Amino acid sequence: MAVRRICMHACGGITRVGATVARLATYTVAEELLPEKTLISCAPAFLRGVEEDVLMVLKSPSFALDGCEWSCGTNLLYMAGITPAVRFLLPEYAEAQGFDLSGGSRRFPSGVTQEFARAVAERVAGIAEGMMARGGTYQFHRPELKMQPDKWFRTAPNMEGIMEFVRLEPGVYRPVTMPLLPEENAGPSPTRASRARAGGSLPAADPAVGGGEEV
Amino acid sequence: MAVEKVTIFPCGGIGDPVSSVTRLAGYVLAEDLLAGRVELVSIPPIITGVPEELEAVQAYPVIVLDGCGHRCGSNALNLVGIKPAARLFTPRVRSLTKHAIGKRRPFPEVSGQKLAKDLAERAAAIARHMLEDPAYVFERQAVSPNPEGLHDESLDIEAVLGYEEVETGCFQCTGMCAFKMRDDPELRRMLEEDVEEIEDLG
Repeated sequence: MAVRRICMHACGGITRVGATVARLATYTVAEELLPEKTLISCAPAFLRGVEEDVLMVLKSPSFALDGCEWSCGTNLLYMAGITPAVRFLLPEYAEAQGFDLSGGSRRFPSGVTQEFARAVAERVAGIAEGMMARGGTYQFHRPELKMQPDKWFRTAPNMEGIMEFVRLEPGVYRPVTMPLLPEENAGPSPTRASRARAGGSLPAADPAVGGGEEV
Repeated sequence: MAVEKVTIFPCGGIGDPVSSVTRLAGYVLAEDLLAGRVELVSIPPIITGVPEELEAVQAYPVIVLDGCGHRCGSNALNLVGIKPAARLFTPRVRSLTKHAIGKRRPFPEVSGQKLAKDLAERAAAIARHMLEDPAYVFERQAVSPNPEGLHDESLDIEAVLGYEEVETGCFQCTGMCAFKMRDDPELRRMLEEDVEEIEDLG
């Protein structure tokens, strides 16, 4: 089925700056860049069974924003039988984009926390615009919700041993089982992020598109 | 015997502005009121098994800050077999203090910041009792999958946890040691003098 909306799934952490970046980037996509086209997935409400929070991750492709190597955003979806369409590993993406999060605030949306959140949001919106493009070829297949509490409390970072990815660029991944993204098929497109980079407002990136690197 | 630390468990939501209020309350506790004496935890790292977070909910009493009527914080703890040592229910606290949640999600408006301080003041008073009263008893808990209530909002989490409201918005969980929430002028002074309310983050 064609994609009309995307679902943002921030990691849900609270202790690290990356979690705050994930949260702020989600708001930026939903409130500024792609309003009306973005759903915000709430992990505790999803677990609680709030109907809209369960349906949104089943009906729309998810963007998982992982704030640290523990990858709780991606992992929580995986434990419910859902694979994100795209996964951002924010510390790696920050390093590649030239952001130093070591002095960032986890409490206030300010400074590098806010600046990097906007960069993430713009990259997300660029990918999402391609997925939702009129006449585009991206297809989303609805997953089935699974209850797998036997997989809880598995202590291993970076989804090791349970999910494989294609690395589109440092910090941006597509699970190998998910459809190719439009930019992988078509090569680099003038996304919001690349337009911003061309304008000099963001550090230069090295987008590895056109198949990426399996990791 | 008191306890070494207390774990604070804000609801962890993201869609409703109240989730930013409970989150801010957590930071006020961890950074301003009880720095070094509380641990902040959310549910995804518990379920996925991040070691530090797992330890924090097992080794210390947990104060959960439920943001709205869905009661996701309490439910999340129940899913992993952890009983809250205390629970604050934001809608009830708000009914008393009259500070509005507001509409802004990235960071609450001033009224929402005041509500966060209301929550933090109460949680800090409870935590101080747990940290300082030798008569407060806590036994280490162990996480275990408890899928009752997983993706099922029909579960009456209030009944399951046997909550009893001991002060407005402040609940005791069945089977956990009774706590006290004393009025603490020092906490109020710290909140008034040290925790600035910010109109515009720029």
